Amino acid sequence: MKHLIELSGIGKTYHLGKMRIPALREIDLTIGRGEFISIIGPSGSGKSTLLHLIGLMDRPDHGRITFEDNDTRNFTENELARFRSEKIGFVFQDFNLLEDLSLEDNIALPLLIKSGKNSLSANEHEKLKYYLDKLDLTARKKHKPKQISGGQKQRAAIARALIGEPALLLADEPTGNLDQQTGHQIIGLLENLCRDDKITMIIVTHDHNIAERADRIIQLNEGRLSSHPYPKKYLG
Amino acid sequence: MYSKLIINNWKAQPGKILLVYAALTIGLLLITLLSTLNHGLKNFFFQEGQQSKLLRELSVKPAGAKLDLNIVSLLPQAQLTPTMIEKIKAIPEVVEVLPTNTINGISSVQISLLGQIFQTDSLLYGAPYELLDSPTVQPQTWSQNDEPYPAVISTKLVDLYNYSFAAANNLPQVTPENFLGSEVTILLNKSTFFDTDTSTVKQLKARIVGFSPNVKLLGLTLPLETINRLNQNVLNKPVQNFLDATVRVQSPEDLTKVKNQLEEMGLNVTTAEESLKSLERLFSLTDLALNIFFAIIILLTGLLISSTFLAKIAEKSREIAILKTLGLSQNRVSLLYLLEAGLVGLAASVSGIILALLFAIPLEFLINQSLQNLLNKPEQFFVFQFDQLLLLIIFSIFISCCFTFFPARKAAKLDPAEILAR
Repeated sequence: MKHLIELSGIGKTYHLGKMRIPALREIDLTIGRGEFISIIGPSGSGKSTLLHLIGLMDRPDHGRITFEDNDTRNFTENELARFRSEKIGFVFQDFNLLEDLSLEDNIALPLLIKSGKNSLSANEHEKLKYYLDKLDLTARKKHKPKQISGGQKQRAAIARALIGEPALLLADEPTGNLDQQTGHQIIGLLENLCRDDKITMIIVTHDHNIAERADRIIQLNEGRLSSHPYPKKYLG
Repeated sequence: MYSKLIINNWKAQPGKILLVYAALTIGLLLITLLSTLNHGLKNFFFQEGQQSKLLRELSVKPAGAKLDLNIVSLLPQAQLTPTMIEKIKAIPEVVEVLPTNTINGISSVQISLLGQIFQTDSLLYGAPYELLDSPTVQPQTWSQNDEPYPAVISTKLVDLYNYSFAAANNLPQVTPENFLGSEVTILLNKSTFFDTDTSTVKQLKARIVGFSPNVKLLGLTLPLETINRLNQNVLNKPVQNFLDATVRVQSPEDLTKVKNQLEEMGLNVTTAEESLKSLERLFSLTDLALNIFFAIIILLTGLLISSTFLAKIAEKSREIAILKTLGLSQNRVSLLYLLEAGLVGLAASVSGIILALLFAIPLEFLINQSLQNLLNKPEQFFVFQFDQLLLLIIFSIFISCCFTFFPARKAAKLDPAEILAR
């Protein structure tokens, strides 16, 4: 297995009534294991669409996405869902926590979804405790999302994304709703956790300071990779 | 996982879910009450009809005898002869032959009830004690030979009087106790409605000693021997033949064979089974009406369930998208909503049944109060059966899930990428 993910000839077009809006055009991209990649580009350039396709939340109109040598074109919707639960973690700009569940229930969701059971095993409890401690949320574990700060919410979202031990973590503007200082703390935390566990991380961001921390920066413009993927040292 | 997510889901559209729960509960309450009442009535009619004794009985009439009540000609022209009775007794499967006869002349009766004297023409029948089969008639009273002669009336006659004649004419209702022990004056050769020769009128006394469901509806029934003796000694018109007979066979399996043999003898034969069939036809109509009513209730509550779950799903679409992103499969998203609907169905059906049980107690009391003088009535109007209630619960869950199927599929098909991009 050379790469974690391989995209070849990917295209995606949205339809708004009779109007066709191309979001991605002929994307070829390979992503290695343990890589930290930033995706940058102006609004509407297709960053989130690319992230959704890599995260197997959506299907391309054409082209092929290979994940750990599995051609995902042949996957059914339920197989894609199982793959997401086992291999991919998501962190969103809006945190996307379930408002009526406590923080610990939110964080435990991927484990419960993966096992299909109603409660956590002893091992899973240990894992939950580990991430609550690691992300400094133990004191807040019984709180509902509306009772905590934005930074704590995003830490909970990170814990939820990592608890399933994914091979890939996708973060869509994770600092967009946070102040600069908290944002940088969150990115630092994410980077450390992913590098420690050798998790591939792809982050969509508008913030060049954050983008520069990645091993590789991918720039999108009008649905195309504006240049070949290049390492951060060549940026600017 | 499901329990927490279902509890989480319940918080969406709580008012509408409560409405669905209330509508389903009321629907199930009505369905339970009506079906248990229907069941109670069926039990009453069919158990009465299906008693093993009745299933071993045939009613035999001579060919050509169409009416029991024949005031004008006084006696049906065709009658069962003693020879025929002997022939019937000779059939190996026949256990008992219980013939009835009637007085050979016109008669009217006077009875004093609740301070009023009622006088009407009436047929007088004769029946053996074995036919009465009623605990209200004691064998020793039935065997009396002297005046006042023992007489029984049909239990159905009391009901007919109370719930049609008395109700229509604003007369007081009577109870069996009002009748029991009452003296009846019988005037043989006299009619209340047309002129008769007064010189031939004979006055007799009888006393009501009980009730029986097996005697003729209109008229007084006296012991068979008494009627024979009156025909011979008082009216001087002896009658050898019988009006009809009840034939009892060894077992219900013998019924068809004996019926065929009796019909070959030229007799008209009816069985309890045939009466039951007409009753079944009547109940199939009530079943149909109830089923239509139930279908309307189910359709209305079903539409409410569908619209509520569509609203819930619209409200929770972002959460569904998050769960799908985290790996919840389409099947499990569907299952989540089907489980929720099933739980609502379960809770509503259990509440509906509990309410029906609670409502049935005062309703049973009220019905019994209003029909307290009715002799032929079920011991229990609302009959709850465990398997029937279980079926209702399963049915309620099934219906809730059926009407949630489309909204649940819609939830499962939501595109998480599109929703989270909003």
